[in-house]
Amino acid sequence: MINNIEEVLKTEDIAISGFEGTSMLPMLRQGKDRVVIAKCGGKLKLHDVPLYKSSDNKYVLHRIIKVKPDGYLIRGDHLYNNEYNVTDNDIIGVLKAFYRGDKLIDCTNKGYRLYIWYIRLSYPLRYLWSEFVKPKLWSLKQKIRGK
Amino acid sequence: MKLKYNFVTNFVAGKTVAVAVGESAEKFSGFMKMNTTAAKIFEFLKEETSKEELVLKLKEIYPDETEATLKESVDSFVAELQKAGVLCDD
Repeated sequence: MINNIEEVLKTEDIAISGFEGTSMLPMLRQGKDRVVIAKCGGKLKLHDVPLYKSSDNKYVLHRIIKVKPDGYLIRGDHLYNNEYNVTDNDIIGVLKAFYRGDKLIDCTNKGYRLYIWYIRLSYPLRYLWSEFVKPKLWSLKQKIRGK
Repeated sequence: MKLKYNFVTNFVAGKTVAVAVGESAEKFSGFMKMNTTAAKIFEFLKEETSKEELVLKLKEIYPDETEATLKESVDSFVAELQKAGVLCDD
């Protein structure tokens, strides 16, 4: 699916495709939503969502959380690890809009911009929950069950 | 003839595109890019219609165009849709 985008963008300005994975939840839901990827027109901005080829040759669609002089710091909305050393050379296209079900949401949409700030500002809390609180609760639950 | 799947048409990044949605998305995962006239034909094809009816409907929208030109537009776009496999068989 998303693998075809690179091929489509050789001849078209945009490509629309489904995708696999959960790393951009809650925004993008596998099997339900589709992404509209456009060719890049120069340096990308903070919070843009580029489609790029990772070092292990996989197609990745994650959000820019820092623009550096030599590249980008990138992270999936539903992930807690950053991807470093992504440069303009790795980038195939950028998310322009997405179909959430049958509704088209443009990346300039006000609601979408609010979502970005929610995702960014809630990150420390989500990180603490996912990396510390949730595992502790899980092990506590296991201990209680074991008794 | 009629469209086989449930499509939504939108103006995206300066283009009119049609994408299958709902259960249809599993059957047709591609997208179709079209010009203004093709987009009109596409909308008409959401309901059962014929090539002749399409030409008549277009003539109402584009009264200055000749029927021959409109017929040519209908024929070529319908052929494109048939090739893409998105039209119900007659």
